[in-house]
Amino acid sequence: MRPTTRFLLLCTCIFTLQFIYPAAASAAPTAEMMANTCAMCHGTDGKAVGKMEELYGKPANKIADELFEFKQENKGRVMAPLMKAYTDEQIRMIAKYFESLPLKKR
Amino acid sequence: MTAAGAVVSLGSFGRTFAQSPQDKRVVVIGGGFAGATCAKYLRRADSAIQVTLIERQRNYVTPPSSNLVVTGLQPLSAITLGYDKLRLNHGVKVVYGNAVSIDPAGKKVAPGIDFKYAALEGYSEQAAIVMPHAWKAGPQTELLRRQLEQMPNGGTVIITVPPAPFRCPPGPYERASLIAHYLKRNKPKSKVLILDASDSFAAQEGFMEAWQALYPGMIEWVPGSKGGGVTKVDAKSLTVSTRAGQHRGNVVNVIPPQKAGDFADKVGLSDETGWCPVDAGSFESTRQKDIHVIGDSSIAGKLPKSAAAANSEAKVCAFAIASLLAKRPVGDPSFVNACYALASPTYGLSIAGVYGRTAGGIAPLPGALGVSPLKESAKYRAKEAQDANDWYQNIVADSFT
Repeated sequence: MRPTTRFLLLCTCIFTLQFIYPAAASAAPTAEMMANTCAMCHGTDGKAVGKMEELYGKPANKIADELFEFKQENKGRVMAPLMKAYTDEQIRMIAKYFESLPLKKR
Repeated sequence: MTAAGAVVSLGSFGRTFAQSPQDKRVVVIGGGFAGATCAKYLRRADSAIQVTLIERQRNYVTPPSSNLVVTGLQPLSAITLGYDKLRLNHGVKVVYGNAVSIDPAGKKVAPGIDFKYAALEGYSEQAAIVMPHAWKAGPQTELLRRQLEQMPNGGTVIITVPPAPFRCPPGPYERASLIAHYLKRNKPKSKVLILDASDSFAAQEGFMEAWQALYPGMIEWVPGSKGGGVTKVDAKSLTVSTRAGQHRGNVVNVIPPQKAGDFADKVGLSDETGWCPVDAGSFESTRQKDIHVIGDSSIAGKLPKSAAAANSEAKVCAFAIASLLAKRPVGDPSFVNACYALASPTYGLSIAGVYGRTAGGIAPLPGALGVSPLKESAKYRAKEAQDANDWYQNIVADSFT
């Protein structure tokens, strides 16, 4: 095996590990997986029906701040125990997911 | 409270030639909260997947909110849905009929609950015309309402609760509460007697506090250890037998022992418990390859048999199937259960938690399981009653439209 070839193979390995390993061995659900659980109360994609709080079209910071308040100050009725399940990073992921949804006509 | 869906993808067909998008086919059997949600979220996950939903009936009556119909607070039409929006909004093909078998090479999911009539002496489909179960919503719901309307003031309503697990753990106690609410206004000398196979129940302290405040002396709960477990019923005399004695009711609501839908037995998905064991990440049956089981009929660890859990399981399952069809690894699941029960129309109680996959199966994450606090204000209870209503509207929209 020529040195160049070996070098290339090594590069491939590093590349593959970085990109494949986190997905294959993920120990945590994706943002979309977590955000979809919100839909039973807040509507598909956060487009709520009736008086329920809407998440669709809101900036991530605003959503995250409210969720942190539920978690830290034990507020929001069912939202208090629910938010205790998530790390602060996961709460930010959920908030960013809703912000990232394309704004379309309803 | 929900019926499960069944997801069958037609084939190793889809596996072998998965490069060709038209080969991605999934059949969902059962159009309750689980099946309907799964069909919709499969289409959202990958629009190349062709999804067919097979359902016996054109209209679905939701078990959630059916206690409002039992007690005359809502008409049956308010909780009756169709499947047109799954077709129009998401391109789900809907077929009305009975599934009779599953191609073993296919992939699919299963069928809600059925009753273990043989496990309760004297109870049967015929007996249910006299002593309604009203645990599958529809004509039975209205039958129980008519019986309450016809009952004399001073009568006794008996509710029998089967051994766990059963559909909608707080359901029997919400029913007792709303029946007491109706009786207090219309037949105030009457009583509700709950004969329970178990010694504890969902949101027990919250319900007990509410009963004390709202209906003092009207609701009596007999736990299993005090002879609450029902051994026999007699439709002719409207009597219920327990180890401790006999009780006669003017209205007898028998919530029967439960198991996975008969279809699950027929196709070999259920085990000796009567329910269907599944993988916690994909909901693939551990007994039948390529068949996924979600909703009340599945054994989903610590998740209850609720519409909320069914909605959540359906999304996890839809993602898993989309990944499998695309030959991608199945990601980690995340579930939410959020159940509301009404102690009165303006007094709500909640049970909520985030669940994940743990070494021991699906379980609530640490600190993330909550029930309504005790000693809260009337305003707080009214807010949770409003939450219950908002929850209902949104979960119906998320699952069926």
